[in-house]
Amino acid sequence: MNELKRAFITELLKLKHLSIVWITFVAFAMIPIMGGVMMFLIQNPELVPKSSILSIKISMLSTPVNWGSYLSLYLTQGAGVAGIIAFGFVASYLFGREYSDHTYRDLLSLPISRTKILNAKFIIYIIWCLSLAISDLILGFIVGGILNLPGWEYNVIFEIIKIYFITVLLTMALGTWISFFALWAKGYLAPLGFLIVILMLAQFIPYIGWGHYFPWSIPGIYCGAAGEELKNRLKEWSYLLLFFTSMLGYILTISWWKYTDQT
Amino acid sequence: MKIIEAYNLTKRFKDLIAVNNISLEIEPGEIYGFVGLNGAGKTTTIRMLLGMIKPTQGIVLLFGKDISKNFDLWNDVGYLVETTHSYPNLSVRENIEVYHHLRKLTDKKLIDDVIERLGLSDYQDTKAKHLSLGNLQRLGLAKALMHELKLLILDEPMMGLDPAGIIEIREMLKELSKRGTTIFISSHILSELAKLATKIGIIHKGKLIKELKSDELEQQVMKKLIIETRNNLKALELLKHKGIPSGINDKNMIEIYDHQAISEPEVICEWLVNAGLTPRSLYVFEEDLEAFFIRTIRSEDG
Repeated sequence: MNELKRAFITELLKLKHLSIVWITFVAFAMIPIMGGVMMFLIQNPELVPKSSILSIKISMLSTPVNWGSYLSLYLTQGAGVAGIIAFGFVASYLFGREYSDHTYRDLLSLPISRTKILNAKFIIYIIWCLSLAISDLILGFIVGGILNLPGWEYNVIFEIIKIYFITVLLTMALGTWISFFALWAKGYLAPLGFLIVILMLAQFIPYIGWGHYFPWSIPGIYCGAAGEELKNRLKEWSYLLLFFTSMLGYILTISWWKYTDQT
Repeated sequence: MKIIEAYNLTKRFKDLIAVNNISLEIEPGEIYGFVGLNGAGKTTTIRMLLGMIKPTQGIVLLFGKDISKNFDLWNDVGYLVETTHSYPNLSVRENIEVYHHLRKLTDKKLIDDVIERLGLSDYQDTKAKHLSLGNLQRLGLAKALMHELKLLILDEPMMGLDPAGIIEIREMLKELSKRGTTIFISSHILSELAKLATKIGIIHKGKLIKELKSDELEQQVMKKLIIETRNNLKALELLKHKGIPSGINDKNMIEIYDHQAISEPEVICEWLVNAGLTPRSLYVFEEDLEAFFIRTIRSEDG
């Protein structure tokens, strides 16, 4: 435990003076802010120039303006889709930077095991992603408060928050594949490429009805972004599939780091 | 107990044999200079010694323990492999702190000491991305030399250092060696290795082609007596008459390889003076490690 703690402290230290940390928070904050802007414009359609694309889009939306739809449609579904990008970016940075900075060799022959060093990175990954999620939720409440949204009901809000965090956890769990690609390709470009491909597939596969078989589509489907019908298709084994996919990514990450030749 | 033992080390990368059946035994306190051309297999060997890559064949023991089986003595090993790199966003001090934690050290004074020893005091708050190559190399060495080590493995540690820096590091390594640290060092600055190493290993095309102690090197390096007189042909005749085999080199100077003549050049000088052939110059030329290395690999290449 002491070794893991030391590895964790060094991972925290490595994040010092890094603007990338704040950039991820600013980027992720766009979800509640843009959601808030949409709510505001739906509330005040006269502010949107007529015949603009935004005006057409707003007229097509039948979104009710209240806390429930704001937190559910914009915050939770945003986390389910944009979370794959944001959390993937965090994982690719954390695991790929040792190769991009060429510091990986200094981590290989130490009294702290290679596995513990990677586990410390995974802990940082979890904390970073959860911090992003919590900051977005807090910002969402602030934005909703500023907009004076109606329909605050504790049981509804509590249920949405539960779905929000489960969506975040499901999305985070898939970061293990990004970490593997970062180590395998020795940097953060390849995992970002993988991320783009996986994101496209995660959007496409639910449309052909197989989303509940595809782990990267499951968080989006779970949070309702693909509609109630697809959500109802999610069964226990869908979550188990996601869990085993995540574990396989973790095992591959650790095994690659431990056993491959580090040239 | 030997500090490094490597037996029949071979590393194959697809069709390329980077290291071919190398065996090494390094005693405590030795400074082992590892010499070879680029691509000879030096770095691959060093990475195998550090467990960074797995040998295709063979075994590495450090302090008598197999490094592939739950080896737990990495804290006794400091290393610097090829060009040093550090976290660019962190200062010199913070970079060292990272390895202070990872090496499970508790005494914070070690950080101050190593910063001072490596002349990094003025740069301790400078971010690594703003350091010169020489200071980056010092930082890399600081990470390796923070605490008392039993074994130090250095791949090109002098790279990027200015002449004063090279001398400082050489003296520091000598001091470490006196305190009992075994040092395995590769460098392309062969004159530095010659001043430092107690044993030299020459690797060529993946094979360890020569291994010799510094006193053996002294015996094996080529020595010759070089003489120049006003009449070299006449001097040659005199030397032939005295039974000393000699010849004229491409610079029109007399070269003598005879051991007796090399060990007593004053006798030759006396003969020449007595014959009215007073030498303009007379000196013993001794091959340096660089020349010895080149001669050795050329003879290996046939």
